[in-house]
Amino acid sequence: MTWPRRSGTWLATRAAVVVVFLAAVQAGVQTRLINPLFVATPTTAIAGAARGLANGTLGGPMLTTLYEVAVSLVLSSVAGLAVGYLLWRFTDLGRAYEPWVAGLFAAPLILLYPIPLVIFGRTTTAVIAQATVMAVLPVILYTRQGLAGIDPPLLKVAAVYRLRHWQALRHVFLPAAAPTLVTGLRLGLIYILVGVVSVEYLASIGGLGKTINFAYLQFNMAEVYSAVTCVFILAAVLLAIVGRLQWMVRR
Amino acid sequence: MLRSRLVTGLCCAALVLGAAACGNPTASKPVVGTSPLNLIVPDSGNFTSGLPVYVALAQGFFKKEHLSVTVVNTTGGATNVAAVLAGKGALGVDTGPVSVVAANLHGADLKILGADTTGMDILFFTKAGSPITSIYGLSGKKVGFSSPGSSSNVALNVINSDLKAKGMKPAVGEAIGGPPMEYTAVETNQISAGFTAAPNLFSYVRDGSIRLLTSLSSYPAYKNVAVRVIFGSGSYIKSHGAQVREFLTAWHEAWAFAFANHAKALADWRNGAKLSEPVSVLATGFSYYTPATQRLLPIDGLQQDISDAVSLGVLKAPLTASQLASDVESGYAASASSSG
Amino acid sequence: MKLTSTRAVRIGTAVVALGGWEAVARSGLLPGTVLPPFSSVVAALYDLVQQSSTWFQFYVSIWAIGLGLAIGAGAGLVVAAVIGISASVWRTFEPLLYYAGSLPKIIILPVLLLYLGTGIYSKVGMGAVSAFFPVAITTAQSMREVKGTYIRAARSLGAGPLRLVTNVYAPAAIGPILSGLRLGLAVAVTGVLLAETSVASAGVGYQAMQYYDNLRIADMYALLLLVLLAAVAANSLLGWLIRHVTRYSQATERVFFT
Repeated sequence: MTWPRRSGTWLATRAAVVVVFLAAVQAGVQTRLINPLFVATPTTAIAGAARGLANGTLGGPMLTTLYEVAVSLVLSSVAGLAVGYLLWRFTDLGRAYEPWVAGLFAAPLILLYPIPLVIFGRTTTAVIAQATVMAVLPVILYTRQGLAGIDPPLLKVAAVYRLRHWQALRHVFLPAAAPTLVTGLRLGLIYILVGVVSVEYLASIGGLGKTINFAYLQFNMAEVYSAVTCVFILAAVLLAIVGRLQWMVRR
Repeated sequence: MLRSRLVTGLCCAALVLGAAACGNPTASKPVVGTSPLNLIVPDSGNFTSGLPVYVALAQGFFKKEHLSVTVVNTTGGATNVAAVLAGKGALGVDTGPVSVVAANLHGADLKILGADTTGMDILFFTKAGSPITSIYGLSGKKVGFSSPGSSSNVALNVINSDLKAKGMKPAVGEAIGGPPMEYTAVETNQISAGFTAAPNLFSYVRDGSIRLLTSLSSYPAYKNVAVRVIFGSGSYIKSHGAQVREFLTAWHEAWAFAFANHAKALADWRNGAKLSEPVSVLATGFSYYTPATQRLLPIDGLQQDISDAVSLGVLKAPLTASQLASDVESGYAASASSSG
Repeated sequence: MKLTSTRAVRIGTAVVALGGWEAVARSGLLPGTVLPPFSSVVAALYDLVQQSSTWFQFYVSIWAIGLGLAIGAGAGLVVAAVIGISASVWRTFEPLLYYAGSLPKIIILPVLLLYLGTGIYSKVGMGAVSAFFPVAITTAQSMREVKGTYIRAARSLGAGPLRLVTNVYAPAAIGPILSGLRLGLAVAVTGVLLAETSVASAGVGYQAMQYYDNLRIADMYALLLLVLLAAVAANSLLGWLIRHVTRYSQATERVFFT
């Protein structure tokens, strides 16, 4: 699959779709079909986001959120890849733990957010801890799945060439499993984005989530949606980067 | 292969249909002759809102007024307002007037119907072993409040004005949440002091693990300020004025009953709200609240609430007297108090 | 032999983890209002399962989750069917679904409250909105990944569009759809429970908040433990279903965490 030659067209179509959707919302709010007490017009939100980013009132929280997301991503990726690999390498461990990891993944872990708050205090570290725990699970599952799904002939290739385990890993196994691994990382990123902003919102600490919560409590819907716009921008940029990585790896 | 897939498919379909056949488990048929009312109560364990509601339920005051009340709990503050605006047929209690006014400034049509609590009842506390012995020890320390614009936020603001007047650094406010979260935060040293209101956390006061720093007399300026109010949506009030009057009558009767029958009222509250504190601890509430503090009318001191909101940054500018007046609709409470 | 060592690993881990929990809790490192000892939680659990009110709250939450999942997954399948048909449409919309899906849904709770009220239907709405995205994304993706050879083979045998859907797309997609449902279930549970902790008069989330407000922390943990066990059970069931249904897929086809 080649990168679409006219990548500009995809971007343009996507942008057009978004604009149409936002225009509909704008019309809805302005005609009071959608209650303006709970939804701000897209124009107000976007203008407010631009303003807030420029003068730092939203830029600062955005950087805090970005920092939390970045650290969580690194921690959960490293830990997830390592544990996922171990669960594949040592099949007994894998068979024993994989259902537990899958089960934990299905549980509403966000409800346990007060625990990191107590352990790490009301700091960004607590947010990172919660998001990392939530994201490491899909990375583990997808890593193990990716490695387990390697075509058997490839395993034989590694044996035929008498590659040492770490050589085989580097040159054969990881490239073969890469598509699934990156899918796992992408899913982990989504869980991190949701987890970070949710904990910030619920506990009123950190960056954009705290801004959203405080603005909501003051019925300042313009600021709520400006901050949501910033979250969207952050998510879009990060997901686009990982999406590109995913495309590169699929080749 | 086909048969096993068929079996699986049929089992799944049967499960889904069976589940779909079960109706909404929370749908209750309202008692004939009563009107339904969703009552938005932040925390049923609060003396100022939980007690009258569960007394009214247990003693039949709501039934007498032909009301079928469903209690909806929230996380307080603006969520109360959101819930009232959302619920068809909802009244809210135990809410800071600032939240109501702020919503109105953004186009909501809410009306303050009566006072819920008059006089600042917020009590700040620290851990037992803490070196802080008075509010002056809070200078520069982290102190918890529930959410921006709440009565606890205002109380902290008052303390900070006091500190500033004495040339000391203000305390740093942290929006933690209600008393249970305050207790946990204080216990784990996330904050130096938290807040509560009687009788929440009083079993810990009693056994000495927390120490109160303030008392009712710490806020003389607020003796006649309504720090929390009862409110509803303007359109609902207009179309269901009778129900509003009925609710306020029941509320008034519940307080009258409670102040005359401490033990019975506490038992009703404890059973209805499924509280775990012993009655002896819950009874401390009566040392803090009186018929004067729990009166529906007059709704005093709203101007003070507004200026607090402005100084806290929750409101951009103070309201004019006429703006404030349009936010209040005290006629229903007046007829309720007189009939009760 | 293999089964025994798996069991040994699990039992060993459980003993170490739970023992560690008990030790840390009793050591006073974390206060009892944050981490009560495992033994207290078990005792509370024993009491909890005997109360009919606990099961009523579970029924309320499960009803909301179920209905929310059904609506969200249904909408997700419809949208995925529309998007997955053509490569260009899919490439346009897929990133948008990802971006929107990564926004925390708790933010739209006030809007849901406004339109669906403070009762159970706002929780259903949260469940539906949460579940929509994973189902839509995985289903659309699986449609794109149906091997072209299968489609061409079916067409060459004279399959019309309906037969194509029932005999090629559906069997190929059913595995990923069920996996998407599995993800959807997990996020629907989270969404509904979070909504119940915010504004509610019934449900597991509501009950957990009641326990917390009364500082009955062991009871709260016991309730959350019950939720975890239920989630694990539902997840295993779906996992079994997925394996059963995709038994005839080749090993190289990607089926998410069987």
